[in-house]
Amino acid sequence: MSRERVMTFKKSSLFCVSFSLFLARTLLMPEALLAADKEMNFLRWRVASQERTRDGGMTVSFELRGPSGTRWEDVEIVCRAMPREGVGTARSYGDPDVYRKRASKNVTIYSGRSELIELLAEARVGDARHYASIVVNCYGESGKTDPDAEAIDDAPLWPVFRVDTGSSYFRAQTGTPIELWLEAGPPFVEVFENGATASAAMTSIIERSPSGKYSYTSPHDEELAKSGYTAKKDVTFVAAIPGGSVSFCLPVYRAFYGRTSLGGGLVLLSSSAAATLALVIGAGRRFPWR
Amino acid sequence: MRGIRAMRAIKVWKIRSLVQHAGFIVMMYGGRFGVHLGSAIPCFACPFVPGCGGYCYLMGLQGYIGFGMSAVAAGGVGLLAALGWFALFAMLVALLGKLWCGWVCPFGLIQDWLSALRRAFGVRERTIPRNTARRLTRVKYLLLSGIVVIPPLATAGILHEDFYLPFCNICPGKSILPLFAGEARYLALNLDNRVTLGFSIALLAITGVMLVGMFFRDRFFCVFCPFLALIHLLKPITLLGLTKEPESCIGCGNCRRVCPMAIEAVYKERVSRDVQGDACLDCASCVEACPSDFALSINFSKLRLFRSSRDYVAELKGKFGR
Repeated sequence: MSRERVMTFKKSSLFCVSFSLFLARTLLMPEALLAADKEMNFLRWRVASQERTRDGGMTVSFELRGPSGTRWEDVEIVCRAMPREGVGTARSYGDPDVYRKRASKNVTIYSGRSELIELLAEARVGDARHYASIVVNCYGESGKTDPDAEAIDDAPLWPVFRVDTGSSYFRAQTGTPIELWLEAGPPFVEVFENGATASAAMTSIIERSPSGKYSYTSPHDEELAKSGYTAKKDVTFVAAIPGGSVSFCLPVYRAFYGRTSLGGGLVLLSSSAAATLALVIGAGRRFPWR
Repeated sequence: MRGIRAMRAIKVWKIRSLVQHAGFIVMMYGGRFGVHLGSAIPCFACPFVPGCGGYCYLMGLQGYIGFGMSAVAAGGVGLLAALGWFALFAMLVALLGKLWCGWVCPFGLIQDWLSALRRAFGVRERTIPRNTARRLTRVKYLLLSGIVVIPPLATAGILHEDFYLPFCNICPGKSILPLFAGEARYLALNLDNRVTLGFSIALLAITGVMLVGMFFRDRFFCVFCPFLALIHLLKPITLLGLTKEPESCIGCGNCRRVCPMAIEAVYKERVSRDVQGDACLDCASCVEACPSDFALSINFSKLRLFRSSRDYVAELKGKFGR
């Protein structure tokens, strides 16, 4: 085979592979997601600040973001506060207190107890209805309730992502699989890492499993690892649903013991023990009267 | 008469062993049964053990000193919570003193297991030269000062945030105790950043030294334990303690020989009744071994709980060969 023929063969193979990838992406990705890829038309929450108050409570300020240059209408905001109950591994979340908050792009929640706060929002943009939710851990100690809360009987039946919070101490970490589900959710969900904005490219697409759940493992982050133990990033999941979208923002923390070397640790431990043993035996031989 | 004999047959070391094992189960696995004794436990109830029954106060102290800084800045209730936990800790210490160390501490029990293993192998206990031992007693105060000074520096941003629990990060309890709950991750090097790597190297090196040390020497870790220093600082309010009647002492030296901490002060003291030093664990071994009536006793305020007795020693020798 001549050299030119080899080159032509290589070029055509490269073209075939590229075209197959393009075709697979186009065919496998639903139309709604492709549209979202171009213009991220969804509502989402992010935590603006979280701090302790003078009375021992905690305030968390949230910011609601949406498609820019559009008019939002019929904005509704509801909060579900789930108290932590029980002790040790028998811990669980109690029945949630549900209350309505004043519709605004900036919402502040006051927490006076140890609880998991879930903030939900609904807004209409044109003909589309968008939904957003976020969960945040709070450790207030004042025993007081949110002064701006208007208690309601039950949370509205909005489409909302549910995440498996486990039992005692829910704190999503990098490198650990996160399982979430959405009732009648689409086969694909977009994931935006580190608070990606509408102008940012989406990070990845996750597929719904046969059991109806979406599983995602946020990768370890070098910057996060260098930071302290409270460092976190926002991971936002977005699902396109008929007539709108559903988003879910989850703060993901640096993994405790995310990147470890058990083998290295055991070698170090054994070396240390062996050196000490040698020292003790050696000292015993040199000073036999001990 | 038979009742009295039966009572005398119950030996303190047996009760102590029973209490230690019960304490181990509660502290290590209590959370699995819904038992949690809070964050002011004056012994190594390690929070890194999944499903533990309470948290060691040293962790609470580090956490509250660190976060207490922000509470002070906010002038808020957080500071009151920190003071509340300290008050509870002080109350527990006032009631039981160093019984927490000698009778309850799970890490103390592990040390006793290793000592028993050494005896079973017929290996002689190693002693530490007197001068070295004197110097080593200062280490626990050094560690205690680190516990108090470092967390605020981490909170203030002067040190990296991962310095927030400095003592836990080098405490061999963190690497050894979770193994009893099937958790081995603390035996690994943590490669997240330089601080976590440095701490994990220090932890594993210290654990290696301690494991060997605890095998060859009774209660080797207790020599360095900041709890002993902290509890000793609260001695003025402690109701429970060891006393000696110097005039009854016959100078046999049994107290010095049986002491797991190799304390000499109890034997040497000839004037004062107060022989409770900073290294004493209130384990009552010296009282059990003392053949002189009333020479040594464990008291709760003015109430004598257990005193030395010639009959008791004779019975121990006769029945148990101790």
